[in-house]
Amino acid sequence: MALFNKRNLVIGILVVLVAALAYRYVVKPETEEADSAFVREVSTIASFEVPDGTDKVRFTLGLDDDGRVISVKTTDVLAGDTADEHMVEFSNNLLVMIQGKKLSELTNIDRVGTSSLTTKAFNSSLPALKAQI
Amino acid sequence: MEDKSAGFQFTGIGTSWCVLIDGEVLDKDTREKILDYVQVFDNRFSRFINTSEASSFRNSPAGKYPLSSEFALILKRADELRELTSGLSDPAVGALLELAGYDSDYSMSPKADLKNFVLPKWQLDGETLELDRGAVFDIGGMGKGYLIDKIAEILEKNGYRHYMVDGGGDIFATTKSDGSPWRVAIEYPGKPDMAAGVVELKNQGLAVSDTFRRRWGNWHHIVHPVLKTPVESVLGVAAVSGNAWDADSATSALFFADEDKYSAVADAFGASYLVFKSDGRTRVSKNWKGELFV
Repeated sequence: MALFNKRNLVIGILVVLVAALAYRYVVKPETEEADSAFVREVSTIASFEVPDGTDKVRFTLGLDDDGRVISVKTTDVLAGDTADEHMVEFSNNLLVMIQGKKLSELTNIDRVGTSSLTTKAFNSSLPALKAQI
Repeated sequence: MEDKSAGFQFTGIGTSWCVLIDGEVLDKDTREKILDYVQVFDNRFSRFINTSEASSFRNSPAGKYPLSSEFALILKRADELRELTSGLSDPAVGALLELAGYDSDYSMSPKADLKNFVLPKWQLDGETLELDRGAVFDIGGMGKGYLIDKIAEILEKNGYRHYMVDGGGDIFATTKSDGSPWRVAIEYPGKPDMAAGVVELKNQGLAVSDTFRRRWGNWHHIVHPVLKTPVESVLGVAAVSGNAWDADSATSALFFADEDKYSAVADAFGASYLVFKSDGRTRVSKNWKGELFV
């Protein structure tokens, strides 16, 4: 796995996420348990060419009963589904595109976590700076 | 809406604060204790105040200096962040921020001798600080989280159990009086009317940081200590942990950390995180619990 290709992995992860979303909406689990623990695993294998053959990486997602992803594993299929350090690290980070939602569309929110609001002094000095640019 | 929901609002350490008690109004005595504590904290640790401990080494020659226990504790945490980010998160950038224009007069005008800035080398031995030259310490990266937790301590001492402390958008919350969590939307970096997701806080801290709010010209407040330029690879970071200080520490480290160090940062502070990269993608930790609007 010397030529472990990050870009392919990213594509792989995105494919799996799409699959998970499809799973969530199409194959709803029948059980309606309140427990939010892991109820089903889905996995897919991504193959990619390297100079000395083909590498195969398996992405395994654990889903809760709402179809939400609650665990991710990335393993090397050709090495007996083991994971090297890089794969473990990769599994610890999901890569997603966040679209966002209008705050005004959200209901039942107590507060908004935000980057520091700035002082009047800071903000009032900005027009002077803009004039210099 | 009733008055209770507005909470106790005040200004401190350069930002807006709000303390919300579920179903109650904060009593006058506790309000005063909080205001006093925040004022004392600012006087002691703000780099904008010349007589503060954070500013007191500005013109010091190389040498060893005794610290107050509290400043030593804060610098110890800063030292951990420095370690986790290969030296990039360093509170000794205070003078660089000043030279870039983020000074006590808010001049917002970068100075010509900015290029001559040399990052002071410092190390901590218990409560003794060793410096190789004069230094101004900026604890803005995580001092606010520390202060939020201290305010929570004041609330606990005064008998409050169901509250939320919001320090300029960083939050610590226990539970509501019925035991349910507080629901907090996370602002999308640079888009104040958009939420990236929602988290439910239950005896947890949340910190959110971005490079948009404190921005002037080509600068913002998160600076690379060696390149002497603002950090642009990350747009914003959000982290949830067991308290506000740990969450705030995690966001500071994640701004500078290499991607393969994200897990180490999360482990060090028991945190889950979102890292909004400049290319529009977001790194989400495996243990993130909460809704994301994908």
